[in-house]
Amino acid sequence: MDAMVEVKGLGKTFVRKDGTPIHAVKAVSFSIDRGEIFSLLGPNGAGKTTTISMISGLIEPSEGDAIIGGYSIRQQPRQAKQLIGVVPQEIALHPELTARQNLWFFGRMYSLRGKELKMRMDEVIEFMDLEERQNDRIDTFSGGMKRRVNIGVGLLNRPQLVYMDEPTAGVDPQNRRRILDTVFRLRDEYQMTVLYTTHLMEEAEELSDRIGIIDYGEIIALGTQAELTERIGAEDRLVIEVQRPSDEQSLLEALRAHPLASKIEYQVNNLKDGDGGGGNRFTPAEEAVLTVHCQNGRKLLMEVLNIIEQRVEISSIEVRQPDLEAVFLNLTGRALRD
Amino acid sequence: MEKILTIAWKELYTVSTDRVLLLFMLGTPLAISVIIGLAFGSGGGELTMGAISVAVVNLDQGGGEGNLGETVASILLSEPIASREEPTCQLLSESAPVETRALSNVLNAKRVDDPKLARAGVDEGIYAAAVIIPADFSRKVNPPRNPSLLEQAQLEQTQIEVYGSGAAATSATIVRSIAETVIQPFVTANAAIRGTAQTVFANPLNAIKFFNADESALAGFACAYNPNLGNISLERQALDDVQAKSAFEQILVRFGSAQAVFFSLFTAWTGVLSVYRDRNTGVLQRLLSSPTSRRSILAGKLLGVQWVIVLQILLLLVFLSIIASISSGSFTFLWGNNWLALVLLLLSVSLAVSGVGVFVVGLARTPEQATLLGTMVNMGLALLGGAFGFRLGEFSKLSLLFWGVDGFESLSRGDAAIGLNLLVLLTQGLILFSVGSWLFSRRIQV
Repeated sequence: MDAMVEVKGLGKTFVRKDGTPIHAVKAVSFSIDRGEIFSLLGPNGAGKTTTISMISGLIEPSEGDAIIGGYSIRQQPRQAKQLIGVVPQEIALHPELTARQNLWFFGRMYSLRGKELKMRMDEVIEFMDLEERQNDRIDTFSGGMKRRVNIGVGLLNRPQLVYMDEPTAGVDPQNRRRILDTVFRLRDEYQMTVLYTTHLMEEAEELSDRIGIIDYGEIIALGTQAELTERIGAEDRLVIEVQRPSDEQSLLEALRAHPLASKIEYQVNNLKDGDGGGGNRFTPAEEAVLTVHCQNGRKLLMEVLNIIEQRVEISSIEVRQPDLEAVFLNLTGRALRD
Repeated sequence: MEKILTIAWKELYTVSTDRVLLLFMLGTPLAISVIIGLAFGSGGGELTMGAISVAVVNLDQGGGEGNLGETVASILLSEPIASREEPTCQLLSESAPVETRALSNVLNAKRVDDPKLARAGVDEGIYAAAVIIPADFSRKVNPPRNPSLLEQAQLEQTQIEVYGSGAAATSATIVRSIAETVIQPFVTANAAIRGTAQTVFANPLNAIKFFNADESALAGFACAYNPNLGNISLERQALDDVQAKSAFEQILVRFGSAQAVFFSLFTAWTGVLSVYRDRNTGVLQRLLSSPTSRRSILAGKLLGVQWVIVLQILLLLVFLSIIASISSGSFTFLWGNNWLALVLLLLSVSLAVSGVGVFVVGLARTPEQATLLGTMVNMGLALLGGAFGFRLGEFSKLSLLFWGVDGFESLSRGDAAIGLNLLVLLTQGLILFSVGSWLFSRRIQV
């Protein structure tokens, strides 16, 4: 497939006042295909924003280059920027202007004018469902409405690559759904390439064709969700909450004896606060959590239930399939939000 | 260029739709100017005062029988009249009716050597009027004592100048009246002597006797004789544009223009500071990720601020004129009629003001620093430049406010000689603008 973005050894080094270099991004390389939704995941300080800022021409790379639609962001920044639409995480609008005036203002920054500008503005207003409020000031809008205008401005120049930085941050579920649907429409109806960043794993899982995980300035994993989970060899987990059994050893031995169970974890909640007031009086624990690791959780579920029910009462049971959170945890040793 | 203009338009539009900001930019300086004008300008009258301040300049070189100019000056200054060994002008001195000591209750007269200083003092409101006695006063008033030379004597007009202030029109009129009273005995004496002389010369025999008379006997005539009666007159200076203005209008000119420049200084750095707000909201990043250069963004921003400042000062000048018109009951444009000079001055002041704004913001590391530094710089310039109602002598010239206000005052009185003002303002503006822009462009790295 034809690459929309080619990142080649892109790196950024900042220098502290005392002369100490900080390698924010260390020569990363990856590519994004045309019409692809590509999510870049990483905790704060991982180098995600710096990478995106270099790709979108906001900051000058220390090394390497990014080719956008065939144009080098270092050598041909004007042409490259003409192909990019940016949707920042912040509401990057002029609050004292109306939605339509904002579109006009930013449209002019892309050298749009006259009938063409008007047509694009109408197009975006319709696409983002802003007809009724187009002549109202932005500072009178709800958070969700502002988000929609924010996205609309990024689409005004009919970009081939749309960079969206956590566009659902602080948005209610209804508007969040609308934004996610918009992302799909950009790809499916307009064949746009979307570079998406988010902290929400479920969003990345739902949207992304491919995912890049960045940490400490390096791309540590890249691929589809299936490829990533396969790469770390992640298994399904059966998480079962039970009343604490009187004969724990017997139960654990029975589970470990099952040929499909690769690993058994047992945790007793033995520090229950008995006085409810945060004092130091404790009562003996009554609950425990069993985690059974296996290749196919659904297949093993009934057999495991039979083993446990003979010995102890079950409070709840859940089948957890491997997700990006697990991938990230496995690769970095920490949770994404750490 | 279109992008620069678009960004500049946005700045202008933003300000024009912010009512609170407009109130601060326009309402506050107007309110202050009007309040000060009403408090000290008596709502269109003249400034109240006790004894009338008068500058007396005696340029009289003397002639004939002593220095008559000095006599007039002494009367006005309530000083003893210098006695002469031979008071040959008996008629004149005996008939002088002025109670010289009494004038000290009415006039606070000061002797000034330089007529320019005296006139400037009137313009600046130090004196209500200046009485300037010309160098040839005695020579023209007091013809040669030798009768044989009388026929050859050139009889010329001479004038005592009373330079009055329109801001103290009543006081100036009083000074004129007093000066006329002082001069009147000279005129009266001349009239009497001329009548006598005409009688004498009408008869040839009397004329022969007259010319054969002892010179000392004619001395009394000599001092005041002059066939050209009324050769002493008061020069009533036509009031220039500033003098013709009431005290209220003059306060609007000086204080109003000072407030206009002072408040525009706040507009300057707060306008430039909005780039930091754009950076915090992500607007700057969005602009930089579009095919718009950093230079264009900065230029548009600064051009917008420049437009806002020009409009702010222009509107204040117009509103001040409207207030003056309402006060006087007729159309009054306070800023003269030299439109080209007014536009040049307006642009120069705006450039200097925005230069200060860019420099302040460029110098500061954070918006908070810029706010503190900007306030301090503005107050300092205002204090030096006279925005608080007084000036600090030569130090005032360190402030752009001085050059701006001085320029507006000059134009207001019809004096278009503001070349130095323009030069200072433009030079200062260009230097500060250039250095400030360079510093500022380094500060707004994303």
